[in-house]
Amino acid sequence: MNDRIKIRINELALKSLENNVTPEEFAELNNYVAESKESAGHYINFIRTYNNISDTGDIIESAQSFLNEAMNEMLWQNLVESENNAQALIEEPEEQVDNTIRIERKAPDRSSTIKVLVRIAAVLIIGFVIIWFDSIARRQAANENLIKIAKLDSTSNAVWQRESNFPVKGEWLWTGNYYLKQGFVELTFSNNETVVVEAPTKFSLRTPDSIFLHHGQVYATVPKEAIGFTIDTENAKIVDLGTEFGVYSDINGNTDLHVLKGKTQLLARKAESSNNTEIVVAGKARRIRPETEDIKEIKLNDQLFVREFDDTTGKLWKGENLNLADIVSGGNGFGEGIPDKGVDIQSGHLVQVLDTSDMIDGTPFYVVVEGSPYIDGVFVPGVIADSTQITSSGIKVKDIPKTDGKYWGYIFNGAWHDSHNVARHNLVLDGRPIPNDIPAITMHSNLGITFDLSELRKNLPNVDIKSFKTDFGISETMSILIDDKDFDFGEGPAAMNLKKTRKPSVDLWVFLDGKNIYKERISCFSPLYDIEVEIDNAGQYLTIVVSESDDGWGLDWAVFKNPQLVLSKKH
Amino acid sequence: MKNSSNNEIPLVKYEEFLQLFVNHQSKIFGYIITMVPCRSIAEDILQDTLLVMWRKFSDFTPGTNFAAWGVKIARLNILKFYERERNSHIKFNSEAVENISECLSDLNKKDDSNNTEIKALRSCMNKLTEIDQKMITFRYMRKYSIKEIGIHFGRSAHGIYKTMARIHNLLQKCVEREVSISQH
Repeated sequence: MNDRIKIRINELALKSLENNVTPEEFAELNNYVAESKESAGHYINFIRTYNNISDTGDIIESAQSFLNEAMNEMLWQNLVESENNAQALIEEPEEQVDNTIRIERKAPDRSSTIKVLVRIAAVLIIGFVIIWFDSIARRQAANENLIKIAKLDSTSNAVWQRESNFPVKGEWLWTGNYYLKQGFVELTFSNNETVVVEAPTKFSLRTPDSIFLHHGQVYATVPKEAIGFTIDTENAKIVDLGTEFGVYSDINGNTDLHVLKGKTQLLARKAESSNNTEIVVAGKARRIRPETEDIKEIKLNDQLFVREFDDTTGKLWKGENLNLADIVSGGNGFGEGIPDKGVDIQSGHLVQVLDTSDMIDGTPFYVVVEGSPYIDGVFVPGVIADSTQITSSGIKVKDIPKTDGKYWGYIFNGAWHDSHNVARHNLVLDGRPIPNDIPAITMHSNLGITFDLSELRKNLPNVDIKSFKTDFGISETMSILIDDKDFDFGEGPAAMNLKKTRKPSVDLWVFLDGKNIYKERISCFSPLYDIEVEIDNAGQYLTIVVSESDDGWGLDWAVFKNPQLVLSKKH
Repeated sequence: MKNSSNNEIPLVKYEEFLQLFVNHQSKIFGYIITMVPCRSIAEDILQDTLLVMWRKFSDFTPGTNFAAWGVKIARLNILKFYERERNSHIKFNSEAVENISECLSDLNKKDDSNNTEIKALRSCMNKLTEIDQKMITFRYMRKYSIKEIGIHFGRSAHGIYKTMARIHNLLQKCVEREVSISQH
């Protein structure tokens, strides 16, 4: 028998196994098998190989479940029959007295009652036995060799169904079915694919590079070397093409895919046509509904999935960036801070009631902020020429020139100004007032603040700080004063300069561990500055300074709109 | 053994039965799917077989070949299927059944070599080309349908069946070779 015939037998048998064979094709297979023992032997070898490769566990499991159900039905049937057939009993009176009335009524005899109890107990015991054997059989059937699929790297308040059977942090999950009832877990697969599972989620692990999501939500981060990692749901298959993506599947069969990085291939499982597959790229989201199996576009929600969590503090990360305005008001960068709260430059204390009536003379001393682990300290730049200390570790920079050493207010979470000569009002950038619900830091010249990035990283050790990003400008509302004919510009060359230009400007500086990584002179009515500065992974101290330029400190109502540290999951 | 019709709870026997079945399930199912090569039909026949095996477990003599006894019952169920589903086209004729039975009988006479075969199969899968390995993974590990694999590779289902058949042939030849080497 030549290879051509062998391959043909395989093809026909394969189609037959999958119920995809025509009567003519099966007749052809039958003819080959009937023709010679050699062909029949080849056919049998094919079936053996097929059985050894493919997972027939579900078929065997289903047969066992069928038997178990039949068993239970039989047992209960017997129980009912036993009750119905119970003998009537002549009840003896408790005391032997004359004229005893003998009452005849139908009741289970004692032997029947014992039998019933025995059967109930047996049914319960058998139930456990069935579960136990089911579990053994399921595991054996699911794979010839039960294999380790993924390591449980982190857990946070995780509660599994049948908890005692499930691993704790650091242990392996094997092929099988899992139901996370509460909390979060992170699984790491063999090619360093990580999957964060958020309860309540039911999933199965079957192969080393895939996960079957019955319902719930998961977020996958797949490195380049693991392209092809797959998430299956009841009606969809998502194949990674080098990416980060989240999948949500509800119990009604809807599957939502949100792609945050890279791209994926999405297939509707019951696709009738090849149109029901799509490459979904970063920034896009799709839904497959159970009734139509069509792929529909939906709005991306980039903060729907927990991407990272800290298993000691329980902090969750859903892809949001670190909000520096939140930090200057005592928060952790994720919304714990209080609006209008800020850092007092002289004491380093976090204060809620801000006294903004006057300009203050600064000192050359670096002031450590004790009230927040994420703020290293604050300072007034340029009090001493060419020597400003910018970290608690003693780093000094020479870049910042001598300033007048004066400043207004605090470094605080908010975008407003008030003083003795102007009423409180929201600051304005690019022609628009900054609304109260937009994170912002107001920072007049001459002020500086240093954040401790190492403390921030401790919260989310598997997340990198990629960059410092913000909009920045000087509020256009300073025109309230500059256009006032009675406004006092003061004296000296700087004041004269401001009087001449009528466009106050500042120098914005960014330092990382004392190294100047950004510097720009920015004046009022400049186009809005959209700044993004990369942060080195090893950097610890991020320092931001607003210093006066050659027009002095007057009217330097500088503000950072949406100041944030851009985060990205570590790969 | 007293079965359920005797109104007794054969708990210990049921445990024993399940354990025996777990140990021999692959042979019994293997027989069914060889005789009726269709997963969904084979699944139904396996269910019926399992139920009959349990009901007739009192007839089984401990210490004898459980798999052979199960196969005997499966054979009867397959015949019942043939009778019941007269219009099904997935039916071998008597010549084909005879050839299959003889080959299976020859195989049974040999030592149980399935574990050796599984080891050989693993080794052979590693020898496939990357694209062939991918196809096998997609089909059997990730359970893509042939149609889905076609979509993934931009090919027709017909073409994928042919390719899968070729890959199976490579694996069969390789397994035969490796098993043969291991036996010498």
